[in-house]
Amino acid sequence: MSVILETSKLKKNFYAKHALRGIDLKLENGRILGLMGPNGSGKTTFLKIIAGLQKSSGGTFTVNGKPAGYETKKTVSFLPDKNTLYPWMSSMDAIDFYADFFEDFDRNKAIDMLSFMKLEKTDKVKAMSKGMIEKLNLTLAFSRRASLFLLDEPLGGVDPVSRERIVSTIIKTWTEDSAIIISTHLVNDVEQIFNDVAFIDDGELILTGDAEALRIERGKSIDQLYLEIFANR
Amino acid sequence: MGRKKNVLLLLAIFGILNVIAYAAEIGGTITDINHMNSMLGFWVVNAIGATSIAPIVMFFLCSTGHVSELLYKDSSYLMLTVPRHGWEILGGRFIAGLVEFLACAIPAGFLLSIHAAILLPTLSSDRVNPLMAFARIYQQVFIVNFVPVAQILLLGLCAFAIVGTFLNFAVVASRSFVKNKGIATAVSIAVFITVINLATQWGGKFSNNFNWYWNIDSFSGLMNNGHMPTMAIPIASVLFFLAIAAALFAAASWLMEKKVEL
Amino acid sequence: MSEFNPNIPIYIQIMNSIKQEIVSGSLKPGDKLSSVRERAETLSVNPNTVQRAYQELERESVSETRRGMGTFIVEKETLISDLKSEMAQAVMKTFIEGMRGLGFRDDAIKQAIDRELDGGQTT
Repeated sequence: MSVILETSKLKKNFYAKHALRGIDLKLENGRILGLMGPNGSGKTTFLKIIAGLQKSSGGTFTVNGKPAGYETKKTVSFLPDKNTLYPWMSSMDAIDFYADFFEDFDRNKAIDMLSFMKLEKTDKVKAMSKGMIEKLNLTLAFSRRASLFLLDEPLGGVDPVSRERIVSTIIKTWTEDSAIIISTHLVNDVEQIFNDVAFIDDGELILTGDAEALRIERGKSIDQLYLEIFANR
Repeated sequence: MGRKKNVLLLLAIFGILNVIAYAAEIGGTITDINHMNSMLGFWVVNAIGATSIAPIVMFFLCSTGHVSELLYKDSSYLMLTVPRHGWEILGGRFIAGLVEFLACAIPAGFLLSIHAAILLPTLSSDRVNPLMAFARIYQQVFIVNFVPVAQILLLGLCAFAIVGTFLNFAVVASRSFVKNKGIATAVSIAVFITVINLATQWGGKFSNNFNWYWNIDSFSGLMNNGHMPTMAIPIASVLFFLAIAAALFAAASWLMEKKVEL
Repeated sequence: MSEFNPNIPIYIQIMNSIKQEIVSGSLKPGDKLSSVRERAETLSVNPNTVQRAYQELERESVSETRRGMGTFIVEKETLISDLKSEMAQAVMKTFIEGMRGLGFRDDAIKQAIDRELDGGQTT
């Protein structure tokens, strides 16, 4: 059992707004964590800090024991909720781009995944639908042999069939040595792949735990639990 | 890759623009340049003007390697998650910018030299045909006066790097601590002007005191009667600027790695 | 959570479905179980969950892992009948508890069963 991600009192302030109020989280290898909360609760901010796009205002975190920085970027794969590829790129261009920049990128895996996702190598990003871009970005993020995968709303704006493919890909990519954090609203579609869950509201973790244990303890699905928790806040 | 298309488009436009101008010029020189049709004259002036101004504009646009685009558009997400040091990213973009600038400036220079080959002979006493003038221009620039030309190009490269570094520092700073693009731009322009003034003054004084000058003077005759004056470049100023640029590059790289946020 | 009951741990539900397959004959003693990953993908569940199910099955001596080859259903003659009675017992327990919850006493329960089996006429 090794700890892939550990955060200690992680804080983030945007001028007066407290986006994160001291998050303590521990994620072990082989685990998939579901990070759930309403819009503006801090999910994306949290993931961006771990990915290196934002800097924390306080607290620390380590990935595989290493503090945030150049080293951690090598082992963290971030899938943002918006498209970050250049419009003129084709799927193949995007793969080449990633291959250039990330040592741990597996080209062959990416090409295989492209066909699994039913994407053509020559399609250009500007001609792709939202769902196709999401699938391409997922392909790129998951073709890296990273220690930590951060997926920010990977299922948003995607049709149900594609959603299934994405969930399938997540399971396929899962390895014993890595950990995955998925932030999502569409809890119902993915809750059975979560090992751990964390509910966040207004920058604070209000409930964390083992998904199975919580289901039995509360006698309801995580989806229902989410409704219960957030309906009254 | 998207940029490659833009550059090629630009070159194509200039190519066409200038070819028409050449036709006009040659027509004009054959008859009598003073009586060139005013519309054609207008075209010629435009072509030469555009071809001269474009590289100057590109100089400023490309010196930063489009880093501002990097930091303000969505595609920058990718750049910031990539395991590359700040200096690698900024340095790489600078080189790309340089290549882009040269891709525009060299063809522009070539096009302008054709204009010179056609027009200059009309100003001097000996009637040389354009082809010979063309050959002679290149001979003068690249062979006879090779050393001073190389020196000037080196200075140009330094200027390019200095301008780029200054501008990039402002952009990176704006994304790390000032946040407001408008304020950051205003502040950096003010700092830019101040620093340049100070550096020029101090550098000039310094060089004066120690008589530290770089004399670019080995020009030999252009057009038989031409004689370029000696250009005395105060080295201290140049070194001063390069030192500041190096410091700013280091600062920008550090900011890029440690402080930039999206 | 479409196919799973939220009140019962998923790994137990997986175990039960495998036991069901053995009892019904679709899985025979000696058959190889699909790999953890394959089953996880098919069911859209976390591989850890499948792993736990497989481990529990092994602990219950329903399956065994052969190094380098995978997980197999044990070749025990009595396996099917054992499972059948174990699962039947669970069904009966739930039924009896339910009937008692409705106020039926043991005799009445037996009578209700007979009636139901004869032709489904309960008062």
